[in-house]
Amino acid sequence: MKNKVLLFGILEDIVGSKEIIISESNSSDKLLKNLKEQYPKLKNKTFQIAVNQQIINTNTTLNDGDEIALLPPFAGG
Amino acid sequence: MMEMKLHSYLHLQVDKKKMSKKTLIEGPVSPKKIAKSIGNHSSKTEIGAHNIFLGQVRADKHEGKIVEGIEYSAYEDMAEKIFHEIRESIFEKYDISCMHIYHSIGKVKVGEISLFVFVSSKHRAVSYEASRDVVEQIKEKTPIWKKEIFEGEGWHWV
Repeated sequence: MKNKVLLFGILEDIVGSKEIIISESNSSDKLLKNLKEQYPKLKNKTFQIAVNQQIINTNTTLNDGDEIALLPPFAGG
Repeated sequence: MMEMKLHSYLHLQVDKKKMSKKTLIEGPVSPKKIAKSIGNHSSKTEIGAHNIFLGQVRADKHEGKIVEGIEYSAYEDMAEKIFHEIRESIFEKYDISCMHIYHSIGKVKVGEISLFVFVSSKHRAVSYEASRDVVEQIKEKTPIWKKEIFEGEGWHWV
């Protein structure tokens, strides 16, 4: 399975892209683990995760094609 | 005359559905747009109070460098959804006649407006409360980020 991961704010700079494709991550915890292995600088960053534009607070099952987004603290206004 | 009637009829229909145009706009909110928006309410004679909040980009200092502008970015689809939810919650909570929200994305220079919240109601008290609530909810819930651009060169994420 494949998932699109969107990156915003400082996380975009860390990863070096606005969007990456991650495969073989069937849960949000697994995805995070994979991402942090690939981009160790993510480890000490604060961010929330959204699955299909909904912020999640616990480990969540991911389905093929779900849109994941990593959201650093908001700064609108 | 016909045209005016049709316009206010459409305006009412739109407000009834609490539908909105896009909230995120490219670049700063112009003072002209704000003035025009005030003028657009002259036909809504049940309104007795308008409350307007404007966010202006400040020339902050960061480690000795002076900010010359902000570059806003957003998770646009989610942000529009959240703006819609905020709007719904405000209409449910307060007895207001109408509300408009515009937020910049892209570059906005210091001294320019990046947030325009416009709440109208019959009496003043509710317009103050609702306006503040909208702004606080925007700050807390919308996936928007800002990068401060310094004079000369350099930038940092807020």
